[in-house]
Amino acid sequence: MTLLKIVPRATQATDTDDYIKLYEYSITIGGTIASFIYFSNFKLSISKFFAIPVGITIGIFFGLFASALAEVLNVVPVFAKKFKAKHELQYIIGALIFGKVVGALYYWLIFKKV
Amino acid sequence: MIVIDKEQVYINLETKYSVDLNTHVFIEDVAQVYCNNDGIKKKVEKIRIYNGKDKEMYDYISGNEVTTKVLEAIDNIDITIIGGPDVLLEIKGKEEENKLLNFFKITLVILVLFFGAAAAIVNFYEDVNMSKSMEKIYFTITGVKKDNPLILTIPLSLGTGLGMFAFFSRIFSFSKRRRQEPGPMELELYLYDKDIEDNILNDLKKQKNSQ
Repeated sequence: MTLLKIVPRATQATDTDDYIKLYEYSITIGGTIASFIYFSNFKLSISKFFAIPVGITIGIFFGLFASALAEVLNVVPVFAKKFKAKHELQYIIGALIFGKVVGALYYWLIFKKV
Repeated sequence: MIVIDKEQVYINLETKYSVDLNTHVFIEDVAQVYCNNDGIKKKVEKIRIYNGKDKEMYDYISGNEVTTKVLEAIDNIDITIIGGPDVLLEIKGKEEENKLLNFFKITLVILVLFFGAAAAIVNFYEDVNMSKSMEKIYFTITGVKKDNPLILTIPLSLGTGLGMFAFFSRIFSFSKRRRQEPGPMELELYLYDKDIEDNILNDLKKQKNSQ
């Protein structure tokens, strides 16, 4: 869980190299707090609409994480080279992203009801 | 006693060069020549270093070959090779682009990746019992036990797409300089190509050494 490429990519995109220590802290503290909460019955009892931003941020992390896995990052270049598809790469990545979103929505909306 | 100094010639070899079928390769294609004497510089550049081949293949030119050929052609110079020790040659014909075949290939890849990614997500969620953890998170926020909290899971699914987009895209950056840097995918493509070329060069050298 060295968060291969997630933190470097995040710092590169936002041009905030100096704050890496801060990011390390957020990851460690987030994980530790979650561990405590998991084993307790702690609840905040606030409006359910706060779940929306929480859901989006968790999702963004999953998205970054899923992209950095070897199954995506190493497979797509092989595909692109074998099929000589360097210019159409954006469509291929788009298909991947779309597939994951549709798969997730399918899971929550249909799969769980069956 | 008259001492005649030899002219210094520096040759900077490229790492890789692509050439068409049946085209000769000259020094000026694969290297940069530095020399005080312009006449000698031009003469060195025009030396033919590799004969055109009529089939597509990889080959390489070693620094030693370059030095030998240049010394054969011109006396009285000192050659120093700077830059890489070898030049990898890629001999390939003109690639004709078949638009229809390309379209089908791309469509196939897109379908495979689309359904594959969807199935991977479904399996991942099922494997790690995502629904239970989402219900627990919902309980932590609102204090209400609810089965299948859609208000949490739908933003989660949309956020996944957003995260992946942010990871790969080159639009989503704050500084202009950062936007021009290669994204992770471009980097992986480059590294893959580089590894292949290193491997090919190594194989060629092993072959030549064992002959």
